[in-house]
Amino acid sequence: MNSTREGSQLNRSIDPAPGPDERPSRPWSRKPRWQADLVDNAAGVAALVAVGVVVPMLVSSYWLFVFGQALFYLLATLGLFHLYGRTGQLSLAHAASMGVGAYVGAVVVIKGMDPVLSLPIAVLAAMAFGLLQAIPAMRLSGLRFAVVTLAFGFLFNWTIENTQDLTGGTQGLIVPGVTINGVSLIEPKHAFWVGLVLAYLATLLTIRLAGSRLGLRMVAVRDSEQAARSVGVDVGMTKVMSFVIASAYAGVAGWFMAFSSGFVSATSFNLFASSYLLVAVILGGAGSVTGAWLGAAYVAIVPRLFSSAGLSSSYPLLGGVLLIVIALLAPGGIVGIVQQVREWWQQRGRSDRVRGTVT
Amino acid sequence: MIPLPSMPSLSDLLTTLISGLGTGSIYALFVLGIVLVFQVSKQVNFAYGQTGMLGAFASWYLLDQVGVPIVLAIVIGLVASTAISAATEMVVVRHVSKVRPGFDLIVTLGMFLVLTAAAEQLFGAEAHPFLTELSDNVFTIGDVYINVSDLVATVVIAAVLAGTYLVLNRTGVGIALRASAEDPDTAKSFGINVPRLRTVVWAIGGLIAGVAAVVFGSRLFVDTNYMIPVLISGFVASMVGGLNRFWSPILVAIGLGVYESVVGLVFGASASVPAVFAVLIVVLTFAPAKWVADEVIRP
Repeated sequence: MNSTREGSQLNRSIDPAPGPDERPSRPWSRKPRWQADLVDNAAGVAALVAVGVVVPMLVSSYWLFVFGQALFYLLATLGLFHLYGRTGQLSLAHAASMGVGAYVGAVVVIKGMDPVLSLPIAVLAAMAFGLLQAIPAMRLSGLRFAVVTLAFGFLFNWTIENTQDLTGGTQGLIVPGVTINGVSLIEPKHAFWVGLVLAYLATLLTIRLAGSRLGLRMVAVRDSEQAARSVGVDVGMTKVMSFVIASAYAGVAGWFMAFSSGFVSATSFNLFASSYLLVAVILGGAGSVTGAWLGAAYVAIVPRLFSSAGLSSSYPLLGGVLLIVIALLAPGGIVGIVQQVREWWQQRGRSDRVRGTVT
Repeated sequence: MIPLPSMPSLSDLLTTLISGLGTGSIYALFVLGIVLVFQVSKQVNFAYGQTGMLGAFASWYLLDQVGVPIVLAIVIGLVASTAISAATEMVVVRHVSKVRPGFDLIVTLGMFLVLTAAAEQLFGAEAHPFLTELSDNVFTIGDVYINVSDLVATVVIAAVLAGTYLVLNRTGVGIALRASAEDPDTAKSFGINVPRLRTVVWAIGGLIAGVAAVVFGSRLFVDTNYMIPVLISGFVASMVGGLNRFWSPILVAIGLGVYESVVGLVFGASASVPAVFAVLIVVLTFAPAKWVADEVIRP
């Protein structure tokens, strides 16, 4: 009894579509999946509430703001988890997708649009930006794909620089504060709470998506395009979907970062920013959701530590060295290292026992 | 939305064509380096522009801040680019696991960040005019303006291309290089030291990047990021022309430079960036699948 329950718990994140009779003992199994998830993860919700209550009491409002930014960055790194970690496509314009979300949101609100409506518009714009890259990229892989995204990142920055009247150009753009139902994103505490909820929902969505048929197709494309094609996976379409999904995540992240920080500047979304996002995802562990969390913490918090120590020009150096060292020595990132250590530990225990029975 | 182009005069057009030829020559030089490196190691260096940038920035520093004679400053800069590229291959790229083909992109992206940060630490983040005696020197034939820097670029690329062609086709080293580009295992069995050859080619690639960066820097200025547009145009030309070919990416690079300048003349200077994009998107979307096939063999 106990073991079957554990089995179905495990299956939930892997099995794309379990039959209706797979979880007969659960009274809530007829509810929509996301509701079932919320009930299943009551512990997660409780932890979320606890963090939301305790952390604001412990840290200054500056660090609360930074943590909020980290939670918004998490949306972007989760997007990159799909695109790079799961589909294996190296994007050098992921920060530019965030930038599209940030700038489109800010500009339409400045032009007088309802902020609530500006979020879907910003996300759609980011998705369109992803689609625009995906069309030439869908026939390409590896290097050429990366170069196309590199070029698109450059195009984004060019667009900002050449639309001075609308976007403020290289000077950046002051984003108006918005208050929706008493929630003001510019308030660090509110941004942190919104970020927590978003991060929680995005993580659930990501796990669900990774286990869906589309998610499995993504992994098939990453592991071998030829093999994926031979079992009927539409490789080009899978790349396009993955790209558009990743851009949607990035667009949401960009919108929230713009309205929570009150300022956007093109340099936050250039080639370097995209590179740091890659550093973040690879550092954490490209194929894992936990890795995306670690990466978001890195990319939001570490540069601020560097600049508060007066070493802000060393942050790119650290990023570069990390990329090289991880790619050469620990391709699984932090999550991979932890896994290896754990396996080594278990292996050691087992071999001891085996040795014990022999002697 | 597109402003109606006014018909440029013939002398304006000729001036633009010549300056475009200069830009295209720099792109072509850069692409030559990318192609050479790709042919022997099947890898691309994202830090390639920064490799040249660091050399050119170093020569600016020696020339303007230390007061080293101009020729010596440039030579030291070029040696620096050569050494950086060779070191990139020996210390980093060589050790990338063959099982993970995407990781050569990741490590050279890492090098990109490291070299940028190093240049900023060593020489600062500001832009500085460099070798202005070249770009300030303009002479006219009739109504056509010719910039000495463009002339130098065109002559240098012609010389380097001719030299490379002769080396590849007439010398033992060239034949060894082509052999190991075509089939490294067979080349190895014929006694060619493929790994050493690889390092040598990366070093030559660094030298070429350095020359391109010095010439390009002389037209504008040097700072940590001035080579990024060249890197992107060079990559676009390589993608459109095909990295597994020799002449086609180089010709595309020259054409791209001329095209950029003409678009700039007709629609205004800032229009050249989207114009390059249009080429990239149209070619990659509509070219035959065989043309855009990825040369990197995935396991």
